[in-house]
Amino acid sequence: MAARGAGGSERSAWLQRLTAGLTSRLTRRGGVCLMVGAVIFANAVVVNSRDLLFVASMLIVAPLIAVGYVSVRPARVEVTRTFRPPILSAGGESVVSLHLRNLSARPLSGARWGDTPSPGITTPPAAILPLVSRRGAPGDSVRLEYALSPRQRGVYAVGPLGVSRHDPFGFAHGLRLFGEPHDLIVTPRVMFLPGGGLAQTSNDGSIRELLRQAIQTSDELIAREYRPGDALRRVNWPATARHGEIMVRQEEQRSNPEARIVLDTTLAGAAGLGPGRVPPHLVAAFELEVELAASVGVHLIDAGYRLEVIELGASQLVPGGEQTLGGLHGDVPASYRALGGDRALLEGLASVVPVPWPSRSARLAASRRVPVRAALRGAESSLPTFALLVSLSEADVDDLVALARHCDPAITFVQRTVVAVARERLQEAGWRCLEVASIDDLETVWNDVNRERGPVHD
Amino acid sequence: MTSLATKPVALRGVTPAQPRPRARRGGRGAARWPLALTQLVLVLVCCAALGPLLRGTAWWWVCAVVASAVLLGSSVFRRLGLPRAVVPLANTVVLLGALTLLFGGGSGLFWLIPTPQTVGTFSGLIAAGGESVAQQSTPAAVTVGILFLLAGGTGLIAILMDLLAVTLRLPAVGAAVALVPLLIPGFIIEDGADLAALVAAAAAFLLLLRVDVYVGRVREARHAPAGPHAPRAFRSDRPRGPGPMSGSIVVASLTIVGALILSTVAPAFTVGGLVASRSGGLLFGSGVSPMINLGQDLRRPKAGPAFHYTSTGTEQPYFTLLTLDEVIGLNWTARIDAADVQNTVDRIPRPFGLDANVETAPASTTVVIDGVTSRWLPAPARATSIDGLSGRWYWDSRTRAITSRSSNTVGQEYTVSALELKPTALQLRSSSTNFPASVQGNLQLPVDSPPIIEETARRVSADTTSNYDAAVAMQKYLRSSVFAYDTDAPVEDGYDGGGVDVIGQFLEAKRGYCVHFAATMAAMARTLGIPSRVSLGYLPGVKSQDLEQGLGRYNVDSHDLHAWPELYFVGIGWVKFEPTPGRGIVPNYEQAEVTGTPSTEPGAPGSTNAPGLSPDRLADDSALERGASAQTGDAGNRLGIVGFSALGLLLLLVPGAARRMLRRWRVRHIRSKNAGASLAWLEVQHTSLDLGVPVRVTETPRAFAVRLERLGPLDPASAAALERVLLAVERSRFDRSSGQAETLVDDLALVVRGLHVGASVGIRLRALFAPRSLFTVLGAVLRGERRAAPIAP
Repeated sequence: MAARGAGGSERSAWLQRLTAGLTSRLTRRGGVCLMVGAVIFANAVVVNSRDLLFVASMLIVAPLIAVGYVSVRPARVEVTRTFRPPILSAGGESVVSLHLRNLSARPLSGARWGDTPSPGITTPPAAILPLVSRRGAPGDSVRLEYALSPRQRGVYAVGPLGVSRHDPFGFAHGLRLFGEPHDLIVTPRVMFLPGGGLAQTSNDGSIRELLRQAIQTSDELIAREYRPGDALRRVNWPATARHGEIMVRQEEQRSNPEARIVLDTTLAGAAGLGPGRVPPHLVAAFELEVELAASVGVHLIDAGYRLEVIELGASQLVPGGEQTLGGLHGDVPASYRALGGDRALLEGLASVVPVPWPSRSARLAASRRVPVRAALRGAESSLPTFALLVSLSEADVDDLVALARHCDPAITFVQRTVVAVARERLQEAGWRCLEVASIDDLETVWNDVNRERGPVHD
Repeated sequence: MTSLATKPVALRGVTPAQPRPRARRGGRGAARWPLALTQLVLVLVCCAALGPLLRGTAWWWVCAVVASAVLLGSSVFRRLGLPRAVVPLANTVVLLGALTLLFGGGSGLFWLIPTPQTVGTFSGLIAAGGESVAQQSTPAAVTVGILFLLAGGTGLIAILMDLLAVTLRLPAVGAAVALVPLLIPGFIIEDGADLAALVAAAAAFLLLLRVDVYVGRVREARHAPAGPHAPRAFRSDRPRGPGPMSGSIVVASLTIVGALILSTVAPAFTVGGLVASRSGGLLFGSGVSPMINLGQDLRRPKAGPAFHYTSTGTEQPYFTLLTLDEVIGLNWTARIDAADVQNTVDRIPRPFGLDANVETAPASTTVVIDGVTSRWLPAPARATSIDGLSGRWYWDSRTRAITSRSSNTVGQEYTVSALELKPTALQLRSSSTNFPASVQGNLQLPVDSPPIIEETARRVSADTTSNYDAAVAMQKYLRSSVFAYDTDAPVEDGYDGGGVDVIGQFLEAKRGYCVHFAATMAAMARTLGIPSRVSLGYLPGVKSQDLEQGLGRYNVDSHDLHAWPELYFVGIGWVKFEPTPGRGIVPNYEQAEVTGTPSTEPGAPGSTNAPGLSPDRLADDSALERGASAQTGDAGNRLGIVGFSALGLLLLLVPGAARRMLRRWRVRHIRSKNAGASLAWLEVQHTSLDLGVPVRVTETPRAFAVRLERLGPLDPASAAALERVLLAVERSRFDRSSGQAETLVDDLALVVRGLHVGASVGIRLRALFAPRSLFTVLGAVLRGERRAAPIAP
């Protein structure tokens, strides 16, 4: 994300440098006038007619003066840009609000404004800028708004604002860019999972029991005094007897609950096409994977989990110079906690793209240096793990098989693009493979996770 | 029934209160008026550029009427929602209707719809117009034909411009159509269009572009895409209007000044021209008839040098450019045969029909061309050889005019050997009338030539016995004091040119210049059976007084352009005469012989062979100055000024009169119970608007009345009347009973008078001559808010 932002500003600076040189251009009218004027001028010189000469001179001079007018007095404005909301999920709508203030001592009239889009989003075509008074006068600022609704997640640089000024006669126009591009973060769509998720331990019933089993760090029961509203069956009779007042049991089992998501970012099963390039048939699959990760991750974080995300490729969520080997080979996984973690996760996922997988030699060296086992920090504990897989190579399968013993439960959401051989090996290793074909399947699959895990435990 | 009848009335009274839906305002025709008006301005300014070519100004008004009808009509059509493609057709219909009304002479159905008869009238007018354009010189008198051409042309330009600028939305291209009238003067007269007209046209062009940009923005703002994704702009307070003018003014004035500088500096390096130094092109080379061209050159206020020469001859020669020997239609024309390539100028045979017993003397003339640009070479008559010419030149076997197809006279320096002809009067008198076949054609005159020619010829030559005496008598008659040399009179009175029909008018008016005298004498000679033709060329010019230039040198300038008749005498050939009073040299063959005759022409000592040095010549020159116009012209101008001032004053009075009529109309309506207190209140509002008190839509009548009284203290009577009107209007609005105050009209008059009395003199004058309410209402009507107007002025 940061890298993209830097790239964006660099590009805009370059663009600004370029456009500062040739801001003014003739319109079609100006160009035609100039050409016709030149032709008439030649004729007039041949015929030596003063009238014709005057007409030709006017046709020639007018566009040139207009260009001069537009270039000599370019607009000077100050632009503040805000997005409402600043972060939106794909398919949502964000209002881009630009506050434009005239800094020049002359009113700004006859201008048009249009935002500079970046690839992937479309901004509306240039629109009329109403008359902006000179600085200090009432009406020296104007608020410009338009709505963007990006279809795809990503981080989009929006801006800078282009203000093109026309001369009063429509011969020439000059474009100036104002302000810096701002990043609009478009997160993947988040599917709200049913309430009975992994973490809903405050509820009663079997799931709570289950979760307590699932989470190894749960503390012993602590009794506390009864408060109105507590369920009667939660009364801890022994403690009540001990204290002489009604006590209820209270779980603080999730003092440090954790979960793990494995994100397939290399798509290594498919022939690599280079950095960031995804074979066409995997594009949808990858997007689905990111949406699944967002939905599951947000759900878990909301439930209070500390979530760590392991990427199979070089880490994009926690970028760094040494984070190039993949999460299973020593990269520090990104971790998110409640209170803001969900947002950080979504922002991170917004810009995740498929990465080239490390070369074979690098991988071999890495696995020799840092075996999967050693790479896993929580080797002694088993975390609930959700592996979201799109396309696996043999090596990936090996790694996941090794990982399986550190996972409880070990669940993979596989897509159709995962080959059967890989599925079988994963299943043998103890992974539950749940096939997800679209984001709509997630809810049923998630219910399956919950339902089926209950009986497993019981 | 009564209730049914009253209901619509009540409704009608109410509907104006609700402004019409906005959709109507932003409709198809909205904001077209400015474009139409600026187009009109452009067309009219460009038409005004034709001014130097035409006499008077009435033609401009006719053009203005036609252009307004077309352009404003097209706006109305658009307002009415006519499809885009149909508007040009409708414009054409309007143009035809206007032309039928103005020129149809009542032949149209209802004066408007052209009938076959009208078509005939029109084609006649077109032909007549074309003819008078061809015959007249500038400034031409505007005949009906020319007027028709002008009006029709203006209408066509307006239609085309409307089509391009509004229908196709290419105003810059549309404006190009207006170049036609703007550039015409440049091709006809040397000075071209008035510089002021050019600048005004440039300003109008820029105005059109500015208005187009403005209208485009307004249209775009109105049809802005809606929806959440559409860009919107919000602002706290919204300055209206097209924005500051300074930018437009700066760019426009820089443009015009730049164009002026460029176009005035440019001639500095094109002097001498890539093609020609005369903006009009070749002398006698343009489509205008040569005679007109000659008159034009003579009327030019400042003479330019044509050429200079030295001659070994005993007398200074006339220089012939071309000879008009045929009357085609009614015009003297030069029959120009294809150049015979064998007729090279290095050896030209002895003139046809020249007997050996006629005394001739060889003379050599060396000519250096200074300023003439022509395909005809100025050379003395009866040239026998010409040396030193560049390019291919040939002599015409009939008229002996020396001409070239491919080159012209610019920069030529050549020597002409010619024969001086010295016939005696006796030889001339005794020449027979057995004319050879080749000159029989020079006897023909159109059958419908005015009878006065022959009558005059017969009368003048009544006592003569020979052709020669008849010719001398005609020459004497034309040079007599009855005739006056005047280069302007024929143009002013519309008989310029040398056509046979013009001769009739000339013989009656007896004012004209060489063309008229020459053509008249030639025509009269033909009626008497003497072959004749008209030669165009230069007088011998003035002997140089400058020692540096050499004393033997003669300078010929453009005012020496001349026309003279030549008559054919058997055995001698073509003999020139000089019927123009005060110009040139009267040929001396008769002078030498007819000693007894009284010293010919009064004030024209032609017998002294000093070429063109007669005192009259100076007088002529001064008469050539344009400023010295006749007294009658002055009087006409004064009348015109008075008329225009009166017209202007009348125009000034129009708004006031309209406002007064509106008030009287309202009073009449109130009095006839057609309208009630609301109309009276409207009148009160409009009156206060005229007096500079703004009327707010949001104000109740009572609030307005209170403000009115607070602003300008009314006298008690008026205040009471205002109160009564107020009560009446409140009652009409809020009370169901339809009782109406009988005194409403009087009260209204009282209030209006009171308001006027309370205002200062300046405000009252403004209210009288420029009533604001009228303009507001007019603007509302033009913007299509007529219905909303009565309540919200």
